Amino acid sequence: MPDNVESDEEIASKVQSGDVEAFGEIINRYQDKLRRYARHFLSAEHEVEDLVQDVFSKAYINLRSFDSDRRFSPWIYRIAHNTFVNEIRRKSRYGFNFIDADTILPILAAPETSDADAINSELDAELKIHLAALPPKYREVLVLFYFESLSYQEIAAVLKIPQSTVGVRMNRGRTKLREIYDQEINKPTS
Amino acid sequence: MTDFKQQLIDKIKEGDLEMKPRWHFVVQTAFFLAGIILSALIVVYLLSFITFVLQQNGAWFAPGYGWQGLMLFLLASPWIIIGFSFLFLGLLVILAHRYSFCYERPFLYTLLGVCSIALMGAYLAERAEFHPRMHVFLNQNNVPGLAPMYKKAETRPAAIAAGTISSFTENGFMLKTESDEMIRIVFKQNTKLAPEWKNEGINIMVFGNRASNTIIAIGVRPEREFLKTNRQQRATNTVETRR
Repeated sequence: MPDNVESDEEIASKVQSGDVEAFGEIINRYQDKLRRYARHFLSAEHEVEDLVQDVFSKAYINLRSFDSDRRFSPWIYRIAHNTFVNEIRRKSRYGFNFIDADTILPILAAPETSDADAINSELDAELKIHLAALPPKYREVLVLFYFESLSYQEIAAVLKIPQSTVGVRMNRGRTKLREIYDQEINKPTS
Repeated sequence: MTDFKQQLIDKIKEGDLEMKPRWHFVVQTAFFLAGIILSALIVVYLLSFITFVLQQNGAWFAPGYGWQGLMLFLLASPWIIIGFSFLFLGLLVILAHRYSFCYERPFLYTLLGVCSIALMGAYLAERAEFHPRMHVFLNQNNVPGLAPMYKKAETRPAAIAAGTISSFTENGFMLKTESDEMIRIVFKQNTKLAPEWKNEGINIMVFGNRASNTIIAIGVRPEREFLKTNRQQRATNTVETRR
Protein backbone atom coordinates (compact mmCIF):
# COMPACT_ATOMS: atom_id res chain seq x y z
CA MET A 1 0.00 0.00 0.00
CA PRO A 2 1.52 3.44 -0.95
CA ASP A 3 2.35 5.74 1.99
CA ASN A 4 -0.12 8.46 0.93
CA VAL A 5 -3.10 6.10 1.10
CA GLU A 6 -4.79 6.39 4.46
CA SER A 7 -5.53 3.19 6.32
CA ASP A 8 -9.08 2.24 7.32
CA GLU A 9 -8.12 2.85 10.93
CA GLU A 10 -6.89 6.40 10.18
CA ILE A 11 -10.12 7.20 8.33
CA ALA A 12 -12.17 5.75 11.18
CA SER A 13 -10.24 8.03 13.59
CA LYS A 14 -11.12 11.03 11.41
CA VAL A 15 -14.83 10.09 11.49
CA GLN A 16 -14.62 9.67 15.24
CA SER A 17 -13.35 13.27 15.44
CA GLY A 18 -16.34 14.51 13.44
CA ASP A 19 -15.22 14.32 9.77
CA VAL A 20 -18.49 13.15 8.19
CA GLU A 21 -17.11 13.12 4.63
CA ALA A 22 -14.45 10.59 5.74
CA PHE A 23 -17.26 8.16 6.46
CA GLY A 24 -18.01 8.30 2.74
CA GLU A 25 -14.56 6.80 2.14
CA ILE A 26 -15.36 3.93 4.52
CA ILE A 27 -18.57 3.32 2.55
CA ASN A 28 -16.59 3.39 -0.72
CA ARG A 29 -14.12 0.83 0.58
CA TYR A 30 -16.57 -1.57 2.16
CA GLN A 31 -19.90 -1.40 0.35
CA ASP A 32 -18.98 -3.92 -2.36
CA LYS A 33 -17.29 -6.25 0.12
CA LEU A 34 -20.29 -6.20 2.44
CA ARG A 35 -22.76 -6.66 -0.41
CA ARG A 36 -20.78 -9.70 -1.57
CA TYR A 37 -20.65 -11.03 2.00
CA ALA A 38 -24.41 -10.52 2.41
CA ARG A 39 -25.22 -12.24 -0.88
CA HIS A 40 -23.74 -15.47 0.48
CA PHE A 41 -26.50 -15.51 3.09
CA LEU A 42 -29.43 -13.63 1.58
CA SER A 43 -30.79 -14.10 -1.89
CA ALA A 44 -33.10 -11.11 -2.46
CA GLU A 45 -31.14 -8.12 -3.78
CA HIS A 46 -33.37 -5.52 -2.05
CA GLU A 47 -32.72 -7.30 1.27
CA VAL A 48 -28.99 -7.18 0.66
CA GLU A 49 -29.12 -3.46 -0.09
CA ASP A 50 -31.24 -2.67 2.99
CA LEU A 51 -29.08 -4.75 5.29
CA VAL A 52 -25.78 -3.35 4.02
CA GLN A 53 -27.17 0.15 4.57
CA ASP A 54 -28.18 -1.00 8.05
CA VAL A 55 -24.63 -2.24 8.70
CA PHE A 56 -23.17 1.16 7.76
CA SER A 57 -25.74 2.97 9.93
CA LYS A 58 -24.82 0.75 12.91
CA ALA A 59 -21.12 1.18 12.18
CA TYR A 60 -21.50 4.98 12.23
CA ILE A 61 -23.63 5.00 15.39
CA ASN A 62 -21.15 2.76 17.24
CA LEU A 63 -17.92 4.08 15.71
CA ARG A 64 -16.71 5.57 18.99
CA SER A 65 -16.52 2.03 20.41
CA PHE A 66 -13.92 1.16 17.75
CA ASP A 67 -10.35 1.14 19.03
CA SER A 68 -8.20 2.59 16.20
CA ASP A 69 -5.18 0.61 17.47
CA ARG A 70 -6.95 -2.50 16.18
CA ARG A 71 -7.86 -3.47 12.63
CA PHE A 72 -11.05 -1.95 11.24
CA SER A 73 -12.14 -4.76 8.91
CA PRO A 74 -12.89 -7.43 11.59
CA TRP A 75 -14.84 -4.77 13.51
CA ILE A 76 -17.15 -3.91 10.61
CA TYR A 77 -17.48 -7.56 9.56
CA ARG A 78 -18.56 -8.35 13.13
CA ILE A 79 -21.38 -5.79 12.78
CA ALA A 80 -22.27 -7.27 9.39
CA HIS A 81 -22.22 -10.82 10.75
CA ASN A 82 -24.56 -9.87 13.62
CA THR A 83 -26.91 -7.98 11.31
CA PHE A 84 -27.15 -10.84 8.80
CA VAL A 85 -27.46 -13.54 11.47
CA ASN A 86 -30.25 -11.59 13.17
CA GLU A 87 -32.05 -11.30 9.84
CA ILE A 88 -31.65 -15.03 9.20
CA ARG A 89 -32.83 -15.81 12.74
CA ARG A 90 -35.83 -13.54 12.25
CA LYS A 91 -36.76 -15.54 9.19
CA SER A 92 -35.80 -18.80 10.98
CA ARG A 93 -34.16 -20.24 7.92
CA TYR A 94 -31.10 -21.42 9.76
CA GLY A 95 -30.24 -22.13 13.35
CA PHE A 96 -27.29 -20.15 14.65
CA ASN A 97 -26.57 -21.28 18.18
CA PHE A 98 -24.77 -19.48 20.96
CA ILE A 99 -22.89 -22.69 21.72
CA ASP A 100 -21.89 -24.78 18.75
CA ALA A 101 -20.61 -28.33 19.21
CA ASP A 102 -17.25 -27.56 17.59
CA THR A 103 -16.54 -24.64 19.95
CA ILE A 104 -16.91 -26.70 23.13
CA LEU A 105 -13.82 -28.91 23.15
CA PRO A 106 -10.21 -27.92 22.45
CA ILE A 107 -9.18 -29.03 18.96
CA LEU A 108 -5.81 -29.24 17.28
CA ALA A 109 -6.12 -27.92 13.73
CA ALA A 110 -4.28 -29.94 11.10
CA PRO A 111 -1.32 -28.09 9.53
CA GLU A 112 -1.58 -26.91 5.92
CA THR A 113 0.02 -29.35 3.45
CA SER A 114 2.54 -28.38 0.74
CA ASP A 115 -0.04 -28.77 -2.02
CA ALA A 116 -2.42 -26.45 -0.13
CA ASP A 117 -1.95 -23.56 -2.60
CA ALA A 118 -2.82 -25.70 -5.60
CA ILE A 119 -5.81 -27.14 -3.78
CA ASN A 120 -6.85 -23.66 -2.64
CA SER A 121 -6.81 -22.16 -6.13
CA GLU A 122 -8.78 -25.14 -7.39
CA LEU A 123 -11.15 -24.70 -4.48
CA ASP A 124 -11.61 -21.00 -5.28
CA ALA A 125 -13.39 -21.94 -8.46
CA GLU A 126 -15.42 -24.66 -6.75
CA LEU A 127 -16.34 -22.30 -3.94
CA LYS A 128 -18.09 -19.84 -6.20
CA ILE A 129 -20.29 -22.54 -7.72
CA HIS A 130 -21.13 -24.80 -4.79
CA LEU A 131 -20.92 -22.54 -1.75
CA ALA A 132 -24.69 -22.20 -1.44
CA ALA A 133 -25.00 -25.93 -0.79
CA LEU A 134 -22.80 -25.76 2.33
CA PRO A 135 -24.23 -25.37 5.85
CA PRO A 136 -23.99 -21.66 6.91
CA LYS A 137 -21.34 -22.19 9.60
CA TYR A 138 -18.88 -23.68 7.07
CA ARG A 139 -19.90 -21.29 4.32
CA GLU A 140 -19.23 -18.23 6.46
CA VAL A 141 -15.60 -19.08 7.36
CA LEU A 142 -14.83 -19.97 3.73
CA VAL A 143 -16.37 -16.70 2.49
CA LEU A 144 -14.44 -14.62 5.03
CA PHE A 145 -11.17 -16.40 4.25
CA TYR A 146 -11.30 -16.75 0.46
CA PHE A 147 -13.41 -13.77 -0.62
CA GLU A 148 -12.81 -11.23 2.13
CA SER A 149 -9.16 -12.21 2.78
CA LEU A 150 -9.48 -12.21 6.55
CA SER A 151 -6.93 -14.15 8.61
CA TYR A 152 -7.93 -16.98 10.96
CA GLN A 153 -7.45 -14.62 13.89
CA GLU A 154 -9.71 -11.99 12.31
CA ILE A 155 -12.37 -14.56 11.41
CA ALA A 156 -12.26 -15.77 15.03
CA ALA A 157 -12.84 -12.17 16.18
CA VAL A 158 -15.74 -11.65 13.70
CA LEU A 159 -17.51 -14.87 14.66
CA LYS A 160 -16.39 -14.85 18.33
CA ILE A 161 -15.18 -18.43 18.18
CA PRO A 162 -11.76 -19.96 18.97
CA GLN A 163 -9.14 -19.86 16.18
CA SER A 164 -8.86 -23.64 16.33
CA THR A 165 -12.59 -23.83 15.54
CA VAL A 166 -12.04 -21.59 12.50
CA GLY A 167 -9.40 -24.08 11.32
CA VAL A 168 -11.69 -27.04 11.87
CA ARG A 169 -14.60 -25.39 10.05
CA MET A 170 -12.29 -24.47 7.18
CA ASN A 171 -11.13 -28.08 6.83
CA ARG A 172 -14.62 -29.54 7.15
CA GLY A 173 -16.00 -26.92 4.78
CA ARG A 174 -13.38 -27.76 2.17
CA THR A 175 -14.04 -31.49 2.57
CA LYS A 176 -17.78 -31.01 2.21
CA LEU A 177 -17.24 -28.78 -0.79
CA ARG A 178 -15.03 -31.46 -2.35
CA GLU A 179 -17.78 -34.06 -1.72
CA ILE A 180 -20.40 -31.81 -3.33
CA TYR A 181 -18.06 -31.23 -6.27
CA ASP A 182 -17.34 -34.97 -6.67
CA GLN A 183 -21.05 -35.76 -6.58
CA GLU A 184 -21.64 -33.16 -9.27
CA ILE A 185 -19.00 -34.47 -11.68
CA ASN A 186 -19.96 -38.12 -11.09
CA LYS A 187 -23.63 -37.40 -11.71
CA PRO A 188 -24.77 -39.38 -14.79
CA THR A 189 -25.70 -37.08 -17.64
CA SER A 190 -29.21 -37.73 -18.98
CA MET B 1 -24.50 3.08 -5.50
CA THR B 2 -23.70 6.77 -5.15
CA ASP B 3 -27.26 7.26 -3.86
CA PHE B 4 -26.62 4.70 -1.21
CA LYS B 5 -23.56 6.57 0.09
CA GLN B 6 -25.13 10.01 -0.32
CA GLN B 7 -28.28 8.97 1.52
CA LEU B 8 -26.25 7.95 4.56
CA ILE B 9 -24.06 11.07 4.49
CA ASP B 10 -27.19 13.25 4.19
CA LYS B 11 -28.79 11.44 7.11
CA ILE B 12 -25.68 12.11 9.21
CA LYS B 13 -25.53 15.78 8.20
CA GLU B 14 -29.23 16.29 8.93
CA GLY B 15 -28.75 14.73 12.36
CA ASP B 16 -30.95 11.69 11.68
CA LEU B 17 -27.96 9.46 12.36
CA GLU B 18 -25.83 10.32 15.38
CA MET B 19 -22.72 8.71 16.77
CA LYS B 20 -23.14 7.47 20.31
CA PRO B 21 -20.80 9.37 22.66
CA ARG B 22 -17.72 7.58 24.04
CA TRP B 23 -19.10 7.67 27.59
CA HIS B 24 -22.02 5.51 26.39
CA PHE B 25 -19.57 2.68 25.65
CA VAL B 26 -17.63 3.30 28.85
CA VAL B 27 -20.86 3.01 30.86
CA GLN B 28 -21.88 -0.07 28.85
CA THR B 29 -18.53 -1.75 29.58
CA ALA B 30 -18.80 -0.75 33.24
CA PHE B 31 -22.28 -2.31 33.42
CA PHE B 32 -20.99 -5.51 31.84
CA LEU B 33 -18.06 -5.72 34.24
CA ALA B 34 -20.35 -4.96 37.18
CA GLY B 35 -22.69 -7.70 35.92
CA ILE B 36 -19.79 -10.16 35.77
CA ILE B 37 -18.54 -9.26 39.26
CA LEU B 38 -22.07 -9.31 40.73
CA SER B 39 -22.93 -12.66 39.09
CA ALA B 40 -19.61 -14.13 40.31
CA LEU B 41 -20.29 -12.91 43.86
CA ILE B 42 -23.84 -14.29 43.78
CA VAL B 43 -22.58 -17.67 42.51
CA VAL B 44 -19.90 -17.78 45.25
CA TYR B 45 -22.48 -16.76 47.86
CA LEU B 46 -25.01 -19.37 46.72
CA LEU B 47 -22.44 -22.19 46.42
CA SER B 48 -21.06 -21.49 49.89
CA PHE B 49 -24.63 -21.18 51.21
CA ILE B 50 -25.42 -24.63 49.81
CA THR B 51 -22.40 -26.01 51.73
CA PHE B 52 -23.56 -24.15 54.82
CA VAL B 53 -27.11 -25.53 54.59
CA LEU B 54 -25.82 -29.07 54.13
CA GLN B 55 -23.47 -28.71 57.09
CA GLN B 56 -26.16 -27.16 59.25
CA ASN B 57 -28.72 -29.85 58.55
CA GLY B 58 -26.02 -32.53 58.73
CA ALA B 59 -26.56 -33.96 55.24
CA TRP B 60 -23.01 -32.91 54.22
CA PHE B 61 -21.63 -35.93 56.13
CA ALA B 62 -24.32 -38.40 55.01
CA PRO B 63 -22.68 -39.67 51.76
CA GLY B 64 -20.06 -41.38 53.95
CA TYR B 65 -22.74 -43.89 54.98
CA GLY B 66 -23.32 -45.70 51.69
CA TRP B 67 -26.18 -45.40 49.23
CA GLN B 68 -28.68 -44.79 52.02
CA GLY B 69 -26.56 -41.85 53.15
CA LEU B 70 -26.28 -40.63 49.59
CA MET B 71 -30.08 -40.69 49.20
CA LEU B 72 -30.35 -38.74 52.43
CA PHE B 73 -27.85 -36.21 51.09
CA LEU B 74 -29.81 -35.78 47.85
CA LEU B 75 -33.15 -35.44 49.60
CA ALA B 76 -31.81 -32.87 52.06
CA SER B 77 -30.05 -30.76 49.39
CA PRO B 78 -31.44 -27.25 48.81
CA TRP B 79 -32.46 -27.80 45.18
CA ILE B 80 -34.01 -24.37 44.63
CA ILE B 81 -30.74 -22.69 45.66
CA ILE B 82 -28.78 -25.17 43.51
CA GLY B 83 -31.06 -24.23 40.59
CA PHE B 84 -30.39 -20.51 41.16
CA SER B 85 -26.64 -21.22 41.32
CA PHE B 86 -26.77 -22.83 37.88
CA LEU B 87 -28.82 -19.90 36.58
CA PHE B 88 -26.24 -17.34 37.72
CA LEU B 89 -23.38 -19.59 36.60
CA GLY B 90 -24.95 -19.62 33.12
CA LEU B 91 -25.37 -15.84 33.21
CA LEU B 92 -21.72 -15.47 34.23
CA VAL B 93 -20.56 -17.66 31.34
CA ILE B 94 -22.70 -15.68 28.85
CA LEU B 95 -21.38 -12.33 30.13
CA ALA B 96 -17.77 -13.54 30.15
CA HIS B 97 -18.14 -14.90 26.61
CA ARG B 98 -18.34 -11.32 25.32
CA TYR B 99 -14.62 -10.90 26.03
CA SER B 100 -11.87 -12.23 23.78
CA PHE B 101 -10.06 -14.04 26.61
CA CYS B 102 -13.15 -16.30 26.75
CA TYR B 103 -14.41 -16.63 23.18
CA GLU B 104 -10.90 -17.19 21.80
CA ARG B 105 -10.72 -20.38 23.84
CA PRO B 106 -12.90 -23.49 23.65
CA PHE B 107 -16.17 -23.16 25.55
CA LEU B 108 -15.16 -26.02 27.85
CA TYR B 109 -12.20 -23.94 29.12
CA THR B 110 -14.49 -20.98 29.87
CA LEU B 111 -16.91 -23.26 31.71
CA LEU B 112 -14.11 -24.96 33.68
CA GLY B 113 -12.48 -21.60 34.45
CA VAL B 114 -15.72 -20.05 35.71
CA CYS B 115 -16.59 -23.17 37.76
CA SER B 116 -13.07 -23.31 39.27
CA ILE B 117 -13.17 -19.65 40.28
CA ALA B 118 -16.67 -20.09 41.76
CA LEU B 119 -15.66 -23.23 43.70
CA MET B 120 -12.45 -21.58 44.92
CA GLY B 121 -14.46 -18.57 46.13
CA ALA B 122 -16.99 -20.82 47.82
CA TYR B 123 -14.16 -22.76 49.50
CA LEU B 124 -12.58 -19.55 50.80
CA ALA B 125 -15.98 -18.34 52.08
CA GLU B 126 -16.40 -21.67 53.85
CA ARG B 127 -12.90 -21.54 55.38
CA ALA B 128 -13.55 -17.98 56.58
CA GLU B 129 -16.81 -19.22 58.19
CA PHE B 130 -18.65 -16.47 56.32
CA HIS B 131 -22.12 -17.98 56.64
CA PRO B 132 -21.91 -19.00 60.32
CA ARG B 133 -20.84 -15.40 61.07
CA MET B 134 -23.63 -14.06 58.85
CA HIS B 135 -26.08 -16.30 60.67
CA VAL B 136 -25.07 -14.87 64.05
CA PHE B 137 -25.15 -11.30 62.72
CA LEU B 138 -28.56 -11.71 61.05
CA ASN B 139 -29.96 -13.38 64.14
CA GLN B 140 -28.70 -10.54 66.35
CA ASN B 141 -30.17 -7.87 64.10
CA ASN B 142 -33.24 -9.85 63.09
CA VAL B 143 -32.83 -8.86 59.43
CA PRO B 144 -36.13 -9.53 57.62
CA GLY B 145 -35.99 -12.02 54.76
CA LEU B 146 -32.44 -13.17 55.38
CA ALA B 147 -32.66 -14.15 59.08
CA PRO B 148 -35.55 -16.63 58.43
CA MET B 149 -33.63 -18.02 55.44
CA TYR B 150 -30.63 -18.80 57.65
CA LYS B 151 -32.92 -20.12 60.39
CA LYS B 152 -34.54 -22.47 57.90
CA ALA B 153 -31.09 -23.80 56.98
CA GLU B 154 -30.91 -25.33 60.47
CA THR B 155 -33.97 -27.52 59.88
CA ARG B 156 -32.77 -31.09 59.83
CA PRO B 157 -34.40 -33.87 57.87
CA ALA B 158 -36.17 -36.36 60.16
CA ALA B 159 -33.50 -38.98 59.44
CA ILE B 160 -30.72 -36.83 60.94
CA ALA B 161 -30.62 -35.93 64.62
CA ALA B 162 -28.04 -34.11 66.73
CA GLY B 163 -27.59 -33.69 70.47
CA THR B 164 -25.90 -35.32 73.45
CA ILE B 165 -26.03 -38.88 74.75
CA SER B 166 -28.40 -39.04 77.69
CA SER B 167 -27.95 -42.72 78.57
CA PHE B 168 -26.80 -45.96 76.98
CA THR B 169 -29.19 -48.80 76.18
CA GLU B 170 -28.62 -52.45 75.34
CA ASN B 171 -28.35 -51.85 71.58
CA GLY B 172 -27.71 -48.14 71.36
CA PHE B 173 -28.35 -45.01 73.41
CA MET B 174 -30.87 -42.29 74.20
CA LEU B 175 -30.18 -38.98 72.45
CA LYS B 176 -31.23 -35.65 73.93
CA THR B 177 -31.64 -33.35 70.93
CA GLU B 178 -31.11 -29.59 70.68
CA SER B 179 -34.86 -29.13 71.20
CA ASP B 180 -34.79 -31.33 74.37
CA GLU B 181 -36.52 -34.18 72.56
CA MET B 182 -35.51 -37.71 73.58
CA ILE B 183 -34.82 -40.08 70.67
CA ARG B 184 -33.98 -43.75 70.94
CA ILE B 185 -31.00 -44.66 68.77
CA VAL B 186 -30.72 -48.31 67.74
CA PHE B 187 -27.53 -49.74 66.25
CA LYS B 188 -27.51 -52.22 63.40
CA GLN B 189 -24.69 -54.65 62.75
CA ASN B 190 -23.23 -52.37 60.10
CA THR B 191 -23.75 -49.02 61.85
CA LYS B 192 -20.64 -46.90 61.28
CA LEU B 193 -19.41 -45.35 64.52
CA ALA B 194 -16.76 -42.59 64.52
CA PRO B 195 -14.00 -43.39 67.08
CA GLU B 196 -14.73 -40.31 69.21
CA TRP B 197 -18.52 -40.69 69.32
CA LYS B 198 -18.51 -41.71 73.00
CA ASN B 199 -16.26 -38.85 74.19
CA GLU B 200 -17.67 -36.90 77.07
CA GLY B 201 -19.31 -33.53 76.49
CA ILE B 202 -19.40 -33.67 72.70
CA ASN B 203 -22.40 -33.13 70.47
CA ILE B 204 -23.04 -36.00 68.13
CA MET B 205 -24.99 -36.48 64.92
CA VAL B 206 -26.96 -39.60 64.07
CA PHE B 207 -27.97 -40.66 60.56
CA GLY B 208 -30.50 -43.40 59.83
CA ASN B 209 -34.12 -44.36 59.29
CA ARG B 210 -36.54 -42.69 61.60
CA ALA B 211 -39.83 -44.15 62.78
CA SER B 212 -41.57 -42.04 65.41
CA ASN B 213 -39.03 -41.46 68.20
CA THR B 214 -36.60 -44.14 67.11
CA ILE B 215 -33.76 -43.94 64.62
CA ILE B 216 -32.20 -47.12 63.24
CA ALA B 217 -28.69 -45.70 62.85
CA ILE B 218 -26.52 -46.11 59.79
CA GLY B 219 -23.87 -43.79 61.23
CA VAL B 220 -22.88 -41.76 64.28
CA ARG B 221 -20.27 -39.00 64.29
CA PRO B 222 -19.35 -35.93 66.35
CA GLU B 223 -20.86 -32.63 65.26
CA ARG B 224 -18.36 -30.13 63.86
CA GLU B 225 -17.11 -27.85 66.60
CA PHE B 226 -17.84 -24.57 64.86
CA LEU B 227 -21.46 -25.54 64.25
CA LYS B 228 -21.89 -26.32 67.94
CA THR B 229 -20.16 -23.08 69.02
CA ASN B 230 -22.22 -21.16 66.50
CA ARG B 231 -25.45 -22.61 67.77
CA GLN B 232 -24.48 -21.93 71.40
CA GLN B 233 -23.56 -18.34 70.51
CA ARG B 234 -26.93 -17.79 68.84
CA ALA B 235 -28.73 -19.34 71.81
CA THR B 236 -26.90 -16.93 74.18
CA ASN B 237 -27.80 -13.98 71.95
CA THR B 238 -31.47 -15.03 71.89
CA VAL B 239 -31.55 -15.23 75.73
CA GLU B 240 -29.91 -11.79 75.99
CA THR B 241 -32.39 -10.32 73.53
CA ARG B 242 -35.30 -11.75 75.54
CA ARG B 243 -33.93 -10.16 78.75
